[in-house]
Amino acid sequence: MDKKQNFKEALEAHAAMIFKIATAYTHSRDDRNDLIQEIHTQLWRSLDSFKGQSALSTWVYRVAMNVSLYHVKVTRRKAFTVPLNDHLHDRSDELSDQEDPWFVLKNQLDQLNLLDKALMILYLEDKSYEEIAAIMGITTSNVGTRLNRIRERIRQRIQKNQ
Amino acid sequence: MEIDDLKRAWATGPVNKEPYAYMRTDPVPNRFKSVLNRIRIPELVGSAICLLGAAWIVWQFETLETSLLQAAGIATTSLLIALPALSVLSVLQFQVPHAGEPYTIALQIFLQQHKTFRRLQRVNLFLCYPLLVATVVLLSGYFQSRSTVVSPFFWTLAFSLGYLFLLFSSRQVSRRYNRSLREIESLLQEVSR
Repeated sequence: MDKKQNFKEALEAHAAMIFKIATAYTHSRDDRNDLIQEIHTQLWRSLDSFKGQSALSTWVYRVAMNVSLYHVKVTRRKAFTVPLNDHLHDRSDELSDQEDPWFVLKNQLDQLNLLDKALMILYLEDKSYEEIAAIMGITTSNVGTRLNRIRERIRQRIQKNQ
Repeated sequence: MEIDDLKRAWATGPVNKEPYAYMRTDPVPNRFKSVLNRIRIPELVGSAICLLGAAWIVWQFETLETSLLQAAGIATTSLLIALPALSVLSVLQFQVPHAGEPYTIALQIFLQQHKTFRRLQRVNLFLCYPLLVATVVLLSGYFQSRSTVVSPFFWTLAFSLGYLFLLFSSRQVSRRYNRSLREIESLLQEVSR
């Protein structure tokens, strides 16, 4: 199978995940599309280095996470001029109030630091601790400890807001 | 709202309505690479100048009459080759983190490369002092051959000015490089906080 075909398959299989990660890490539609484009470019560039030592999905997640983290770090220097709920324009149900579960989730994710946010996204993606550890390059026990702390923090914040 | 609700919110989260509409083919600027180039380019330009200097001394070697001047010529040439070699080695060992590498590992690799870079730069700076001495001796030979009086004033002035220049330029370069390296480090480091 040629590189183009591999790339196309990897993109198609993970398009929804890439879109959600990009949405979670950005604050405007243009920024999100730039990030998706950057993830695609990096996937294409580094496809040759994928030797099948991990699952294709693990590798795609890793690239998507890495690119998102770099991207956020760079764009953070620019002033945000787009409101937080800009993404709500993309929602099919057009919910725009703060009761929208996606708004609540996005708000909670935005309060985490970059690594915790990445861990939480992978947890939300239903990845096992072992897979998260492989994607983020930390130990499984570290994943468990950090995720417990993150979930507890989010739980407390949600309760406080209710 | 509970964690499970957040999971459901994620699962039913936003969906892409424009499949691959924004797939472009133009290269995306790489911040890491551009910051690294701020170190790479001056180092490579400096290396080229050193090598040109070494080539010029080799070409003019026959004009060096005394054994002192010849020794200075050999020392200067050797140092003008060693310095760019170390310089090129120190910048080429920096690799842009691979997108397929886990982020935390990329940070560890960068910190290791940073440490090696600083060590090689320190050796480079140390070698600049013997280069200064050898160059001043060599220059005295060229002045002598042009019937210029090589007085104690020449030696004092040459060494003082050379030392001050070296001190000032090494500080400036070190400050500039550290700023670029800190920028890269902060690009990587925030995630591990």
